[in-house]
Amino acid sequence: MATFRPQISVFTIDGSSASKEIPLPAVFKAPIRSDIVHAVYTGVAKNKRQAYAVSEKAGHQTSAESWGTGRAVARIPRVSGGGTHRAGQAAFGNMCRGGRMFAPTKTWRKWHVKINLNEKRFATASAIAASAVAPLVLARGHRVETIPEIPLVIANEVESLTKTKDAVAVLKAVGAHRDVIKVIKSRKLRAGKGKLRGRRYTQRRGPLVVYGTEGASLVKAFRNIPGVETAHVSTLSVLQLAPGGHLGRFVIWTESAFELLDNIWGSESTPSAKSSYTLPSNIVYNADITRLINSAEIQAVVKPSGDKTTKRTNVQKKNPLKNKQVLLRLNPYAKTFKQ
Amino acid sequence: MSSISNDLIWELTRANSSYLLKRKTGGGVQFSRDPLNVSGDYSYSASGFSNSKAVGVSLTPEGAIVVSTKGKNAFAKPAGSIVATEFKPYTSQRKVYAAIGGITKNYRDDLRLTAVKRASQLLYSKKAKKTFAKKPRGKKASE
Repeated sequence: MATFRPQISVFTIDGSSASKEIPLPAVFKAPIRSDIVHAVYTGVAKNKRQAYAVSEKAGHQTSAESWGTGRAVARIPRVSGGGTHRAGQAAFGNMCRGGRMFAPTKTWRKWHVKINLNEKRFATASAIAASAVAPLVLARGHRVETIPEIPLVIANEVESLTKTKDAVAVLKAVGAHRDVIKVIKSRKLRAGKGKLRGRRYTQRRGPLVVYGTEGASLVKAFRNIPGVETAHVSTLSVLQLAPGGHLGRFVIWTESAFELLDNIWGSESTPSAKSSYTLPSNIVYNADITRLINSAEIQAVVKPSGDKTTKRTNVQKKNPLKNKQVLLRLNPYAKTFKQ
Repeated sequence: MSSISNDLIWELTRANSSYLLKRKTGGGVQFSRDPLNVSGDYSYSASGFSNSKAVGVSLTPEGAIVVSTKGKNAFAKPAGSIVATEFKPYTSQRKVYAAIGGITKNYRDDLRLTAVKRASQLLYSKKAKKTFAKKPRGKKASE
């Protein structure tokens, strides 16, 4: 059971814990709903697609006509003329060589999916909350065994880094570099045609560095580290917070980004910057049901448990009509009745 | 944060996680790669990452048994949250098993036998197999 942690420590870029502590933003208490995150992810992930289709004319650039009945061949349209092998061959049909495909793809396919705004926000809040739970981040496959605290917050100096060498040093100092090594090791040649289309390699996702100052130079410092992505705190989406729809991305926050979270998402005291928005609330405040049941308050009102009865199984059944002892056990009156 | 319970973590990860190993053979068996899982089953009680108390038994390349348990606050502070006890490679097996029993007692009593079993298997695996010279028979024996 995660303990209640209102204070999160800020680590300096050399990895030591600074004396500063920040209260945990309210968005980290949002309900973690994998179903909503998954549904939103599948929709939002479709919105970057570009239209594609086969040529409108493909398979129809011939004057083929059916030969009709009586020629002992199928009535499919056939290419007219002579003097070439193509003459007399079947055309047009999806089953024909050189014919069009079945249901040719159209550029006006429904490429994009509208997701309700509140649902998107719920999913993002949920994904942010999940990124602060070590077991979920581990279960997503991130190597966070060596980081000192989760959520991991780094002091603002990290935002002004300009050199990748320094950025790597920061990751090493806070124990996050193992996740980068995992990414480097995971790099594999992509299966299929994607190789020819500018997607030659596949690799895992590493940490997501979230910053709070627009135009921070950290973007350039971190962009050549394999798997590491950067995002501004106001542009967070499930695409980065829950890649593949799986909760628990390893997020590294800069101090300013972490402090902005309450302004963006709102808390008990500060209203959200999003117009009339309030964070979703948990149906069960304390989901540790075992602890609830064993709590003094509940135990004070429940009925005391009765005597322990053990049911003897696998015993031979005795006939009470023939066995006097069993009869008496079931019917104590039988004794007086017999007399 | 306060609303995260072990049960919720398990519900969120039971269908899919990096620790899950699925095989189509053997009736679709599911195993766990979790280092803090002594039985290897992908189940709530066995899983190490979703329980706040868990036991792991592993073998070092030098042949020493390492028993690890989860310390307090492992959900919030991953580094140093695993308490590992390493035995010397020459520690007698009985002492290792007794120590594992002691570590798991009043911590995860349900995993005690499984943890000992795993240690036993690991120690057995590092034992050099005895090889016997083939005894020649028949024609070869008389040569």
